[in-house]
Amino acid sequence: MAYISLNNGYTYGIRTLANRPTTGLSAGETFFCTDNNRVMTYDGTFWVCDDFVVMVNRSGVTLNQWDLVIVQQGGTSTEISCVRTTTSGNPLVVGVVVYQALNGANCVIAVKGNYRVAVASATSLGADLTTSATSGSAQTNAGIFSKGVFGFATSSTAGAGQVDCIIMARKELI
Amino acid sequence: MAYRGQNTKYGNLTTSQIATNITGMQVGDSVFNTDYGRVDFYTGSVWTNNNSITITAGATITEGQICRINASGQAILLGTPSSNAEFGVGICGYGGTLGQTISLIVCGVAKCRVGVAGVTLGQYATISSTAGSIVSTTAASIGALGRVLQTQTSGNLAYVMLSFIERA
Repeated sequence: MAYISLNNGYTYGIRTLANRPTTGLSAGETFFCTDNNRVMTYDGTFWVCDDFVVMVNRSGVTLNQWDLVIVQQGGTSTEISCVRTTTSGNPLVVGVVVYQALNGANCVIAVKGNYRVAVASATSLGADLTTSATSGSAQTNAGIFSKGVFGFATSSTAGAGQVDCIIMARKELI
Repeated sequence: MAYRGQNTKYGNLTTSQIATNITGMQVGDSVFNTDYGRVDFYTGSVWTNNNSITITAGATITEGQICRINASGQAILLGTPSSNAEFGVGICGYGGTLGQTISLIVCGVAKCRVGVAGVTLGQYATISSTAGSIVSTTAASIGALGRVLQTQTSGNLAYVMLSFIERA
């Protein structure tokens, strides 16, 4: 009997997200991802885990991996969709794009866990992160810890780029 | 029809047993955590699960303590209610010392260290005057981190349904 935890017990063993299998896949297959420390399961379309939600990309452009997105308001009655924002501190922030998604296609978004995010400017370790005026990018929250904060930086950058981050599931407002 | 059970490598253990009894684990290994009724996975440096994130410890942190992120991007104990109470990010599931990787539970249910006053079932859990521990209140405020699911006395662990509060 193969344990689900043995390295070779997962369908594809131990992998990184970038090294995920892309061909010959069947729904229900698995690998253990060392980037986010999750068991990834193939759902027939995407590799998914408990950290992800799927929304339609209605941003009008291709969403790139680690773009920051918000939920789109005023969409149709049959779909939930995401867009990028140029509003700093936007409380509609959802999470970061996991796989590049064309406009109009389903987009996998990480809403909690250890991931990366695009940032608009220099970002320090431990910075609390929110949306910025740069579409799809985060920035360090200014001033009081406030609405729109979605996580914290766990690596730094001297300018615009990407940082590691933890994404928080925290959306009860008072 | 017989359902197939969870084929975890190490079977059913409590958090404490997982942390102290298991040796020789490898990346991707799993165990069923009976404290929470969920599967924990080994990352190569710490046990974690789908409700947790992993992060470097900025100090010694033990199971149940509330943590925040410091300016080095590391986890430290959340301090007093008047000091950045809103920065709480998670509860230590599997702890460690300075520089080690630990896991923090950031959603779902977590066992939290109870401060000097004890906590009462149904009340809001918020940070106490003892760094890293909780007290319960009848009203929510900035710094509240969830609802207490278990009346418990000082120094013990109490189950809390996490719901970190954000300032509107």
